[in-house]
Amino acid sequence: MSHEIYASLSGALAVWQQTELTANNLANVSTNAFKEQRATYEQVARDARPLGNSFSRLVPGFVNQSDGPIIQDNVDTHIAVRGGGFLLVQTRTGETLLTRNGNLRLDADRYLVTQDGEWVMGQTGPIRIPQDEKLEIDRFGNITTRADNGFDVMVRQVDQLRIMSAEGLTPRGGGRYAPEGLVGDAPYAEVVQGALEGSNVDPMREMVELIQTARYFDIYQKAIQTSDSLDQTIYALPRG
Amino acid sequence: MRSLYTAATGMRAQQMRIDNIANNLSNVSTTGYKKAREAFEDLIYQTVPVGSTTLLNQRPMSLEMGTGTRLVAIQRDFTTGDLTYSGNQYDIAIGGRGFFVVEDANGNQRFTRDGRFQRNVNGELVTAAGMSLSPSIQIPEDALRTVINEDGTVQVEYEDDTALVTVGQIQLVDFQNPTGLRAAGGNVYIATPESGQPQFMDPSQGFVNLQQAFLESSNVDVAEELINMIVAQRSFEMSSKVIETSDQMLQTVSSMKR
Repeated sequence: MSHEIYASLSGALAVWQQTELTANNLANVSTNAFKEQRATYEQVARDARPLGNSFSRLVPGFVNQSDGPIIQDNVDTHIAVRGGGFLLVQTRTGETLLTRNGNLRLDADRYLVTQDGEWVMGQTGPIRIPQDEKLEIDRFGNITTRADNGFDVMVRQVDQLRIMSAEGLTPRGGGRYAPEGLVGDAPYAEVVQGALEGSNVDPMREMVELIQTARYFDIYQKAIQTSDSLDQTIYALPRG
Repeated sequence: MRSLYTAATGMRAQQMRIDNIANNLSNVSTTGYKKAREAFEDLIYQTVPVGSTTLLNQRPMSLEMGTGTRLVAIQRDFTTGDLTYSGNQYDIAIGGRGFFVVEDANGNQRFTRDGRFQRNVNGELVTAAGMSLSPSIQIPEDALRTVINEDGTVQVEYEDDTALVTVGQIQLVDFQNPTGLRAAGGNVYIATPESGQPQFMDPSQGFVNLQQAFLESSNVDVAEELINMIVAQRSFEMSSKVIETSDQMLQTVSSMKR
């Protein structure tokens, strides 16, 4: 049995996985703050002979961290983060995760939480908004509340959002990421209140990717069939 | 095979989005209707090992393969709709924040911004569905004219050019988190733990702003809905193309064995 059939198979498997990535990117074109995932192909186990086989496989590429479009909706608890930065959230089990999804709400105890109920962290912990007060968040993430009854205006400084930068992110679903590497404050990030960040998936690019993978797949199939017919010819020789 | 299911989650999400757009568009003329917006989130990721070492890279590697999207919330947008003049003296529009408190036949409190009131047989102000304002306001039968002031006081005039007599006060409530209210149909909402308890708005503090003979139109923006519909339809199509492509690839696989 010839080895090149496995080389072709490795290529076919890699493009198949690429299709799965494309499917996920395209399924998330409407997901707030979704970041498209890219992968790259890599050559493995090239053997030493001049015409030796090498195999191909899909390896983790990167999460495209570019900003998605800003969609303004004027909801006080909706925020979009611009520039390289993430909101720090804490799950009910105490785990710290990062997210760009600023589709926030106030829970029954008036804490600022994500749609899944995780606390959004400020410099001093979870952020609680006092009763009867309007939430205001400036571009540096400073949270103030305003009580305005038509006669008196009272502004209260509550906290400041923790905006982090991070390396090596593992997606955890729900727009959350578990940081692997160093986590630090992101000094250049900006916060926009009353807006959400859209998905940064470029549908055109994904469709091109889809066409390309389908073609590659066909090519690998042809290569497998060719190897197969060569093998058949060889096996048929003694009888000939 | 995963790509088939992943693409299906995308199609299902866009389908639900179209359902919601259909609801918004069909309520484009509903008094006091508040448009709802969909919020999507990505699903959990599966770790797909792609081998341990290479010549260049000695650490184990795995792909974080996403499994699609889901609809997490349909959020209502409580921005005020346009106020339109109706001329009916029992029509009341709320300018700014707040909800009317109404009671159904069983005494359950409901909240609404639909200010199309009318008098029932007892002379009480009730909604089109027959829910009475709470606290109830009775308009005497021999009243010639009713005046509803901006602060919610209801006054009547028995004869032309006589003094106005106060017969009641319309109470408005507000919620910490109106987005958490549950829509019960019939233009009314139910308070939930998420929305918080209703808080009475104090008219003496200038919070209440009522407009007699006006109605609040639906805040649905038809252009916005149509644009969302285009986006949803195209996204649906693209996910369906992924299914088509995966299917073709599977077909290729099955045709490999001759």
